[in-house]
Amino acid sequence: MSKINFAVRRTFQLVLTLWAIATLLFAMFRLMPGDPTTYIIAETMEPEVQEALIARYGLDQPMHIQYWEFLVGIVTLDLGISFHSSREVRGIIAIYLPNTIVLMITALVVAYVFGVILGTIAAWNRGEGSEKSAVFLALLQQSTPSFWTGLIVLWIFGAYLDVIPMSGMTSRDFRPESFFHMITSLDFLWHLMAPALVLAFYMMGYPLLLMRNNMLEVLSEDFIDVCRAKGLKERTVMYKHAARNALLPVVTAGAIAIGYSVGGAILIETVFSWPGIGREMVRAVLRRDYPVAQGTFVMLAAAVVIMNFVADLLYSWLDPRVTYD
Amino acid sequence: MPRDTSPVDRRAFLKKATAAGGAAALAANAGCIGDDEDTDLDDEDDAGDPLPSFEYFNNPEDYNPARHDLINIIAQNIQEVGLDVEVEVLEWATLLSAVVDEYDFGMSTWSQFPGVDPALNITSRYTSDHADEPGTGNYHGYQDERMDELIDIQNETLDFDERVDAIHEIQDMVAEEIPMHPILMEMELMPHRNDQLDGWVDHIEGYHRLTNYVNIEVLDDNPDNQLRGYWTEALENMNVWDHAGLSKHQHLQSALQERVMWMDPDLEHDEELSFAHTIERPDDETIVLECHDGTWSDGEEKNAEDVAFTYQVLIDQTPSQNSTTASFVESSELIDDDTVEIGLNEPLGLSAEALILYPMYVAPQHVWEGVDPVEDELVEDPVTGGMMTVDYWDVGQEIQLVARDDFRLDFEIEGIFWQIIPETATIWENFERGDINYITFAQPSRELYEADQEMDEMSIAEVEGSGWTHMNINMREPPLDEQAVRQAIAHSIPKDTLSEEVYYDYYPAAHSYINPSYGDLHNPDVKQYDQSLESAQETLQDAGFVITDDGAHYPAE
Repeated sequence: MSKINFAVRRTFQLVLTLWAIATLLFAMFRLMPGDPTTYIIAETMEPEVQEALIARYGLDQPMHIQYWEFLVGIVTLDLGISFHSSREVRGIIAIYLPNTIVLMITALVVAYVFGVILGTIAAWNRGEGSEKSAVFLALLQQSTPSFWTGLIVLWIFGAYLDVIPMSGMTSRDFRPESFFHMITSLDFLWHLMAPALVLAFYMMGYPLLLMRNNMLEVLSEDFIDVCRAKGLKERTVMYKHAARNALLPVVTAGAIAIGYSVGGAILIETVFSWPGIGREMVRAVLRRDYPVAQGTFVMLAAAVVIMNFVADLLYSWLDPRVTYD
Repeated sequence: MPRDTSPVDRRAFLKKATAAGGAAALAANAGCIGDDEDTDLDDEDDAGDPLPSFEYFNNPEDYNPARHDLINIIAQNIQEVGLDVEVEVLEWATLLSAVVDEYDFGMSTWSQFPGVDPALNITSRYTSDHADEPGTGNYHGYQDERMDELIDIQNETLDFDERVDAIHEIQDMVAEEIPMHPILMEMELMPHRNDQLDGWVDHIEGYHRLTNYVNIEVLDDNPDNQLRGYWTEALENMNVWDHAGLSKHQHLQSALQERVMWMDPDLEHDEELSFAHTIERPDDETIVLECHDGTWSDGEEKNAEDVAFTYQVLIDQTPSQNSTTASFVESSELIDDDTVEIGLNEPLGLSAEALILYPMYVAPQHVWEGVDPVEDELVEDPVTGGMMTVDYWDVGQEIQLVARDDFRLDFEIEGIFWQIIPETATIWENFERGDINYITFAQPSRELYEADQEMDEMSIAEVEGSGWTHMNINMREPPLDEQAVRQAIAHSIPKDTLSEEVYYDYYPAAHSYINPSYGDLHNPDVKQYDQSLESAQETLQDAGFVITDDGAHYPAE
């Protein structure tokens, strides 16, 4: 099968998957106990006023009409209006998603760069103290709740040492003129450092262990012996030949992690008062704000599915041996 | 139960108690009232069917930890009385919906704040017609002709004494028949940095109103001359029409917008703060307002015409966010440059101020003329008529208000700054550093109590609020349809213990449906219950129910 055929087939699967997820989301929110109008309708409102408000949000429509409008909304990127704030859902996403992306991508880059390097070193030094330390570190990173690490970091470096800000993305007196102005400022970087590093600490364990395991497999293959026999430097063998060949699953995992990152890191966003999309997603669910909850979940699902697709395509580019038969 | 009357002494006692000791005391108190040896059991031969079990809805622990504990303790006591209660923990929206929208519950407990006047709460909660129509407020299922008469009287009379009598009788009826039962009175608490702020004015609605904003004194350690607070979630909208129900918006709208009427701490019309400096009632279907004038934040003139416009929009608009007010207003007419006449569609007495005037912020006509306040609801850059205007707003992160030089009143604070901080520990750390100088939405908690004990720079302004933590009872559900059962439940609530052990003594026990903060409207002589399991069981037995080893029964046929 050609790459084009593969891409077409996967695109079709992608659309089908998104439709299934959207349908599931639509059904799930409506099967949840509790009435979404509880938060928008006051008991003191006259019945006709209550009905008018319910109609305004389309909640008086039969379920199949609501479903159809929901699907059309996804296709046209019109995700509706928040019950709670009267903002357009895409406007809400536009406010919070960039903040999340900056935080998550920073953390991912740090986590995968250091995770890959440490994993490589750990595998190369198998059986030595550095490998044991790296494995211990990875297990520690994976098993320590990120919010707990965040609180400890805040407590020590924020409250006691006063070297990191306690909350937010910018200082009170800093008034950025644009998002770009904000993310390129030193003030923002100062605020970004702690949540990004805490998140990176948590995320690093997976690529570290993955890289180590892949490296161990690759190191047992014949071509590594050939490289050594050719008299290549150890560093060249390790990074240019072994690590490069062990990288493929890590790239896949990284691509999928990027997909998940648009969902934000709810606990980290909460601990560091980071105005990200994860926090809003949870609040939308708790408030029965269907449009926002559905919109953000669909966005998250789309990002994961698309990044999976991208990872599939990357395979052939990274490893010419991969075919699409 | 004997009780130390000094809050300071009681809190000092609590400080001495260890956490483990506190928990042990709590458990002991929960079970000590009415030990088995005090129970006078009936002959099993007299027992008919056991009383059916009923549900007591509880919120999740992380939603409101203190209330979660309170409900569990009360349920444990009810169980010891011999009634079969099952605590069911429901996610908050589900719980609220089951009670308010579906009337499908046994008992529930939450907080409620009737506001500057209880008229609306009384009407919504106890009007008989509302019991048959889920979603209209009478989730108790309480129906009584005399109550309906009293509701009409307190809504319509212009005679203060007659209104007081009606509301006192309502409190007597609620205390006797128990469709709801107040447990703890919710104090309005304002923890603040005493090196930065002073001059708080006690008000039934708390400290987040114009009454306080214009009176707060700025101290030397507050170089920005600001109120600096927080909220745990984002502000959504700065629409002058859309402030109902959300405390975070009400707090800021109080500073941003001009209100038709403010009430002073004595719950009387505040002529200086209100945009309507004079209020006259030629008859019970007419209100005449004489208004101040001034400018809006965009420089346009602000006058009575804006008030007339605001009420006219209410009349024309469907649906309305202020539908309660809208349902009473029939006409709005500008009489002259300063005067507006509002016509009502039914007689309204003294409650008119609370129903028609107090809820309304004045909308700028030049902004809203031809604009639908509902369809075009989102406002991010509001034109304001109040003491402040929006200087900077990053929706997800912070908002900064600054004082307007051309507002008609003098005041000291130069701005209000709020940051969104969801994490409690961070809030208190910022407070300790002085970055935040007031706790915007304080409730009894370990953090508050510990700061109260340990931080010299913190003081707490406290005043009796309008609300209570209370128990809602669904009188449709057996055995809660029996008055004796409801009274037995009321007897079994260890209010003083809950106040001391769970709420750190910040909220005292409540007995009447109308809090003492309402002055003359409060009835201090309502029936009080004994906080005793023994009394609870006696109440059941006196009513003919039979209590045996395995609980309460209907009498044998």
